[in-house]
Amino acid sequence: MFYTPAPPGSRLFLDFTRDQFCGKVLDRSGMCGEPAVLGGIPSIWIPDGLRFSGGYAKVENNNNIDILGASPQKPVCWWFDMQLVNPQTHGWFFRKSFEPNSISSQYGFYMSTSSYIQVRINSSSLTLSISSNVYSKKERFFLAVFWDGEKIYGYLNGKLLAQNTLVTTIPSGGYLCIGSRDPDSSSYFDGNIFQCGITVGASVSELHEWYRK
Amino acid sequence: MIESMSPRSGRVLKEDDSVVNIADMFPGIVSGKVVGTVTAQFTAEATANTLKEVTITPEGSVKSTLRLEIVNPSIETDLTIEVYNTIGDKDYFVDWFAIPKKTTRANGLAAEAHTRLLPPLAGNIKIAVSNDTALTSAVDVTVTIREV
Repeated sequence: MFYTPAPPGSRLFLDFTRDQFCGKVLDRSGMCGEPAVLGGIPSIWIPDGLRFSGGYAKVENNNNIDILGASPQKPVCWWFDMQLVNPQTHGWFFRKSFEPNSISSQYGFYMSTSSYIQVRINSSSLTLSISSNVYSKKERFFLAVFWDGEKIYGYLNGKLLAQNTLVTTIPSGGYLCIGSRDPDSSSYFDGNIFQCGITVGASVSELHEWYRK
Repeated sequence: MIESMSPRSGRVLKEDDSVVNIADMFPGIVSGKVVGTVTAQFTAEATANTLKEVTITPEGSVKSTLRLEIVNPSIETDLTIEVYNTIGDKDYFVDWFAIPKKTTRANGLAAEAHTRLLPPLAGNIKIAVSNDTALTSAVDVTVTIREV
């Protein structure tokens, strides 16, 4: 069995199509990151991913995803292959807080009901909303958010849907929580995540070319 | 032009009197032969994204299944490795990889040497190595291409 190769420049690559029936998901970025440990309400393995509904995956002790900045030469990209099942008011699905249970975060993503996905970088120094009817149709989609140190772009299924200006330096943060705002939070994502990751240095076209393959 | 061969031994005698082991030519057989090794040297105080280019010139026939081996002893910087295949006067971009700095994993093992699979290559192999973070100490990065 061959594993899906990581996207170029991967700092985190969690492939929820693998490691089924395990309590953790290995980081396949090749950057020696620690695995994501599953917790909370048990998430359910589905044939091509992981069904989150109150559960979470927690990534600790991984300096590769301690994103402090970006540059045109080393743009940062957060990407997700996922699908909504039951809309939530604040369906947090990817969030790296500054401190355990702190309100502010290095970076965070949540889906508001089924209308838009909101991106928050460096607490709330930036918000970017990516709207689409793909969510309410409960279709599987590929979300990629690029930040080049000056501007931030939101792509959905390869199409640019939102952009904003973002020039900031982000302080160092704590753990990454996937599927929920925090391990003990009631703000969680109710849906499927198939793959997700973070790249540094890959271009928009490189990432989408990787996904098409 | 093959002049003679021995089905029993599985070897082939070529017209230049060299002997080829047929088994080594099957893709499922791991050869392990080193195609070439080079070193990219970074000096202390090197700024971020300093570029070092090294070239590996394969000798003789090379298998189609290759891997890249990188030893990054630096505890300060990740590396960006770009691989080019030089054919004639053209450098064909092949692939690029991010290689982490030397780290000690939670199980106590140090991760310093890394491998990445490469597609088939022909001709010279140019490798561009750059440091993602500024350095305070000099570091020698070893790059090897190996048949697998």
